[in-house]
Amino acid sequence: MLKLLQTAWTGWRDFTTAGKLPALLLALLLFVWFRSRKERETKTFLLYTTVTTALCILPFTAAFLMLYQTRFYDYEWIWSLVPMTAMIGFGGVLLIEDCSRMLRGKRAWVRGAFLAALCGILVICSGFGLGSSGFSDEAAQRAQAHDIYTYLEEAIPGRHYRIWAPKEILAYSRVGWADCDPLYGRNLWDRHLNAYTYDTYPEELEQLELWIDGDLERGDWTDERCAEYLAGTDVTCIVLPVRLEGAVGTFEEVLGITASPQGEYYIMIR
Amino acid sequence: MFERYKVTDWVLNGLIFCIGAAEAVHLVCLFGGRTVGFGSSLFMVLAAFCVLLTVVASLFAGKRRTEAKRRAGFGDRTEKLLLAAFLCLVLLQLLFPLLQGSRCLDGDMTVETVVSFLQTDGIYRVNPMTGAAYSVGLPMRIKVLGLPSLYTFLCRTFGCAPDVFVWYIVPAAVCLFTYCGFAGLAHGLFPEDRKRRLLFLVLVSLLIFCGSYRFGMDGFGLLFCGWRAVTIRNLILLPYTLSLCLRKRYPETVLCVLAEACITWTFYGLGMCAAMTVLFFAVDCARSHFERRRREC
Repeated sequence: MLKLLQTAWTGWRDFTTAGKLPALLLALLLFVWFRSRKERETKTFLLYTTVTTALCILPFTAAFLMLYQTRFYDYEWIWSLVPMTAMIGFGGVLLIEDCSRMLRGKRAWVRGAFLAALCGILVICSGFGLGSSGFSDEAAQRAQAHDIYTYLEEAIPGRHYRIWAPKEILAYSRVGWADCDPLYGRNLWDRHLNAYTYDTYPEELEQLELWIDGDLERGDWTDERCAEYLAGTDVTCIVLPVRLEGAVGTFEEVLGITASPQGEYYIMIR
Repeated sequence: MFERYKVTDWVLNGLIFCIGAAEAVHLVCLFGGRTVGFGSSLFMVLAAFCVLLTVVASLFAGKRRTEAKRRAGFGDRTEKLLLAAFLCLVLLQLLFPLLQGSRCLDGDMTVETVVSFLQTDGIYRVNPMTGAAYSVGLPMRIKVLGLPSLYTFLCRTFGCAPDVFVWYIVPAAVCLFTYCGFAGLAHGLFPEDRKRRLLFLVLVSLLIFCGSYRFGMDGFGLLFCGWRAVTIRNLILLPYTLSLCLRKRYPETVLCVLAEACITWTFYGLGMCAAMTVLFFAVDCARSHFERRRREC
């Protein structure tokens, strides 16, 4: 029953996510345009929003805007020109006013209930920021990384070290609470970050990343090859996930170190 | 000219002056080879001046507004209810980074950059991603952006951990400035009606939650990556630019254009604020022209 309820909640959340605000924007633009009373001072605002919305939807003008904003940004950022939140808020105020006018003469609680229902629709569509489930595991990953770095700081106190680990651990190596440098940075797997530097990584590091992060279709390095490559680097700390348990023996043998289990990882210190 | 300024205008101008000061100090440190320690001291002097100016100007503007408000009365029960709802929603958004705990780090390295600045006591002396020296370097267009330096100077001065400062304190500050921007915009849209302005702000704060479903939406920016330059641009600078355009104060949008150029990668300084001003001005001129012609006919 609990699972059913959970599915019902996530189903509703998924059902009301993608694209709801642009749709609401277009609906409210239509409403405000066809509304009989238009304030003179807000006509320009309405016209501006309509023009920019059209510019962002039409492919030719959208392409021009994408060139203007530079290739550093993706398509969604041209919508910055459209005051979407402001226009929906503005249209919402007018809609609520018109509805209240229709309800004039009714009892106060009827008008209040109507206003509450309108706001309630927005509230249940909002999900209070919990709709972005794609990022909900970030906190858990950070906590896991924190545990590993705390363990390492206790194991090798006061020593600066170079670490090689899966990306969920390596991603937090430079956020401030670890005295270490990673073998490679986050820009090896997060390609957007390559815009911040001209530096590139050698092919070997890309293979190492493919191997440890489990992208077996793309990576073609064996356990021995990885261990041998690491033997020639200044890496002092290796963190392997338990799903690569089979490779731990090879690493211990080639590098001459011992692995100690720590939660869902094996840690090796040279 | 300053008589037309409201408290929200002064607060946002204060923020823009601080961004400008951080950019100036950033460039001094970057090209003059100065340390972060020196930069922090210089920035704090400039920022203190900006904040003082803002506070004094806001007090004057606030006094004027308070007198006007006193004449208009405090507001009826509906206004109080709307104000209470708005404050509750803002409070929830201020606490959101603490309550939710997750954030979007894709394509962002602000914390790493601040850490590298503090560790090396200099600007871009090492690659923030690896902590090692650059082998080739980084693009000049990234190098000149001053937002990481602004965070670094504040972290250094107040002794705050970079991750705590960037992931928790900055989004809260950005949230407050966002509502300053939207309050200014509400003044532009509903200049004479406080109830409508409050209703507008309540709807905007609800829409922030509604828009948290996708990267690139205003709500997502504020709730999941409030420290990023594009969030500051979309939620503070652009609403402020729009409110200035609505009030036909086009020359003053230059401040927003410059602030955007200081923090985000733009088309040679011509970012979204400039595009918004030009487009709004063009639409305004076209509308006036057609209305004049229609009257003549």
